[in-house]
Amino acid sequence: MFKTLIKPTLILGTIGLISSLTLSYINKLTKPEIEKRLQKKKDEAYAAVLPQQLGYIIVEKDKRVLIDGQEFVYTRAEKKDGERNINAYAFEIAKRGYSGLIRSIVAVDENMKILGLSIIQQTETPGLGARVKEMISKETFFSHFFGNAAETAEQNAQSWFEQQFIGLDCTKQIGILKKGEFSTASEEYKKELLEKNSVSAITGATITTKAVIDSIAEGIEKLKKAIDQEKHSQNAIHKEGKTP
Amino acid sequence: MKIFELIKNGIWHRNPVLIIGIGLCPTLAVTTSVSNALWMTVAAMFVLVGSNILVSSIKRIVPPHIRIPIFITIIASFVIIVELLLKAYQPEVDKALGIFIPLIVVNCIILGRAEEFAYKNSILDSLFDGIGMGLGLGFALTLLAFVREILGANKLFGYTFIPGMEPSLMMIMAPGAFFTLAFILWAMNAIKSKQKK
Repeated sequence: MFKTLIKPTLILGTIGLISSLTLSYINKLTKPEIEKRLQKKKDEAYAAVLPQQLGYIIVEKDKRVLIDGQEFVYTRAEKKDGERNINAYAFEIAKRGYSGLIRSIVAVDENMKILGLSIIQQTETPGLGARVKEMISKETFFSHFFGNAAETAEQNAQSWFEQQFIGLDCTKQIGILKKGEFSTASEEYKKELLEKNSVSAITGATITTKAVIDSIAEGIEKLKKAIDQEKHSQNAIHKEGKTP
Repeated sequence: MKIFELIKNGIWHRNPVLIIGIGLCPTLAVTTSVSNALWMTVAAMFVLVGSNILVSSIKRIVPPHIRIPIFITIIASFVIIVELLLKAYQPEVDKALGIFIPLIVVNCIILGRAEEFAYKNSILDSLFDGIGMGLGLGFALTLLAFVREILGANKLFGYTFIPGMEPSLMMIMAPGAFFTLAFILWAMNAIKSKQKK
């Protein structure tokens, strides 16, 4: 009885206890660092999708509304254009890609044109889907290690995959063209992409590309509803104000 | 001299990937770039050495019929430690390796070494067996990744290798890994059979 039942239980329990204590300690140790990085990444993503040169200033950060029973968080930014205020919206979207959620932050202007997109989390296949975060770099292995070419790529916070979304119209379906990747695209091809309201797929990772596009469409639907709600509530306030 | 022998065994005579043929899932999956392969080696080696030492030090108090759950608990703890540390201090690596860090738990090299070696040998021997096997895994991963990154992405350590060369997509996908592995195994066997003569 003791040898076959109680002793093994005690040993297994002790080892489980020790390991969970160790892990909770490590977790406590690393948690602030992980959270700091996540917050920094989010801040950077917001800065990347609403770049300063566009002139938008964030007015309402992280507004929470209920859309179809689900919480939707968005940020509203404004810029002054003569008399009028132009709105821009940034929000977080997520959709399952090839392996796991792809979370990104996207910013659109009033006409639902994309101002910027930044992918903040993905677990796609390295070398395929994970190339959504690939930077365009002219630097070669030899020039980096042997220094025979001084040309270093300009610092750009966004990958080529994210860049190609800028200027696309979200009121229409965003298409996928498979004629080569944006990173090596010619000027005509870039023009064609913009005309056809399309992005170039990452070779071998169409599912990833499609997931990002679908998540944008879903996010836009929610955003439209959120804007409607806001208008309704504002109208209601106006009416209440008028009635004596 | 036994230490040297153990490490040599891990890298060459009983290389986990190239001779025993275990741990192939991460081998095929993460060898798309050399830096991924090296970080995978570091992570797997940490878990391997840690679990080997721990398993070998508690081998006298572990009843044989519950040894597997205990091994798995120990290995899983080490893997979570690695995962949290990478997330906190090397987020780029964590992003690149993704799911394959948690999957080290089910890597048969680690469970295999715990069962086959650490449970039967002294702590010091287990430590060097872990280092040897880790280096062996690293040798195989780096070799595969070197070939695949150059041919499949025309890159080395993330930098363009030959400007203007069109990379072969197949090499970065799973079939490329199988082909490369087959060639490496062939070369390995050719060298071994020559040595025997």
